[in-house]
Amino acid sequence: MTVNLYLPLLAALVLGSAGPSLGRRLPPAVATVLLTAAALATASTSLVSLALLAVLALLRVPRVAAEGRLSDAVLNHGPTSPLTGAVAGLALLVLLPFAARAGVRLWRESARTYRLAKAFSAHPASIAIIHDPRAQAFAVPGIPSLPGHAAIPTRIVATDALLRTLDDAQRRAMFAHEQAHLRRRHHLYLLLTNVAAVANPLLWRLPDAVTEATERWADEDAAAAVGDREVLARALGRAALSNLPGPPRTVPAMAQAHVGARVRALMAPPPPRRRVLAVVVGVAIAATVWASIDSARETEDFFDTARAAWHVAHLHSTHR
Amino acid sequence: MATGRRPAGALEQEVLAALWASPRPLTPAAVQEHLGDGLAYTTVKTILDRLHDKGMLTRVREGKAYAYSPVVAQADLAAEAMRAALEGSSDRPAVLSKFLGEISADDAAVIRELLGDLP
Repeated sequence: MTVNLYLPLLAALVLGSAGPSLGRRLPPAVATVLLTAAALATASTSLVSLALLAVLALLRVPRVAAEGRLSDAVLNHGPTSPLTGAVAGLALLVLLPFAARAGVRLWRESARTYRLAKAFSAHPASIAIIHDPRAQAFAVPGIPSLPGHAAIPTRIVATDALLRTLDDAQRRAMFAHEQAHLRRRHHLYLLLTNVAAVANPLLWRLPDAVTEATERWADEDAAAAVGDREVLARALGRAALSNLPGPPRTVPAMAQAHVGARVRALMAPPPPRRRVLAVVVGVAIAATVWASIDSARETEDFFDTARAAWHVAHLHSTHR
Repeated sequence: MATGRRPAGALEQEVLAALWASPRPLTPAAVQEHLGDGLAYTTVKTILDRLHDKGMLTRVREGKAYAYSPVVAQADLAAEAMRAALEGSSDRPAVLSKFLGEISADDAAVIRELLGDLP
């Protein structure tokens, strides 16, 4: 029981540190789906574990135990000790500010993306072009029609500098890349991973890892759509270099997919499938979820025992 | 170059992109040439007319045909929002994926090594 209780927390720790390199080893579509699933599974199960630990720690207070008609003799031999309770509490206090910061950031970015999509409602074409000296493009996700809310269609935004930098074939490859983001709904994977990282800040590196995987996924999709890997590599390379005589920024280690790595991947054959690794990750996700369900069930059994012991003890005292 | 079928909206995007990339107005025949893959002249003409009707293109007479050029977006709501998104934290995006991240000196070296100086 103790192991199952801590396994989700351990899984979150492992995923938080190994997630990015794991993602790079898998083909991008598989990496995106598995990392998102793993992030959601570890975030939700570690919340369950924390809740169970909190309840178990609270019940060690004799008055609370008596109030719940539970035997403190049984509770005191439970799966937690005052030390683990203190460590868990401390960890929670340390992680809370990170969770709050990530939550605020996600809220702001989502609100901004929503405003952007909404601002386009009246725009007459599926592409919008801004006059800007930087070569850049991005896909704005649409919003399905909701009650009292008309649907907002998807848009592609590009700067005129990017369109002038690329030739006809390269522009087509760039559009195919942006279409792939929209068609595969990459923003949903990013949103879900970000939510998971808010729920458990140990997963803080996952959103960047999934961003990187979705970029590589869109690259692979676009290369397949135009039937030429090199033309997209050249589009990326040319656009990136055209932005250069601005200040070449040193990018934080875990930032967005490095354009150099993407060009390298496109100049190589398509990535191998790595089926075994994918299955291993899938099994690990399933095991974490199972462990969480099992620990919840065993905690319930444990309370049943404590309740029974309380009744036995109190029956004896009334008969005496 | 590309295979014949395009997803919905892609033709419109490519037509507009070609007009933006061109230093001077383009006739339907010139746009047709940019798009390749044996697109029908009437298809290109229809798209240009529609974009012109929506106020996204201006046109000038050039011989028998019209030559089209894009209307540079005014400071409308969408343009403002786009600029905000462009400025926004490009190195740590939350839900908006950009075509290019910030380029580092290492990236530039890799690109030059793989693709030469003018990719």
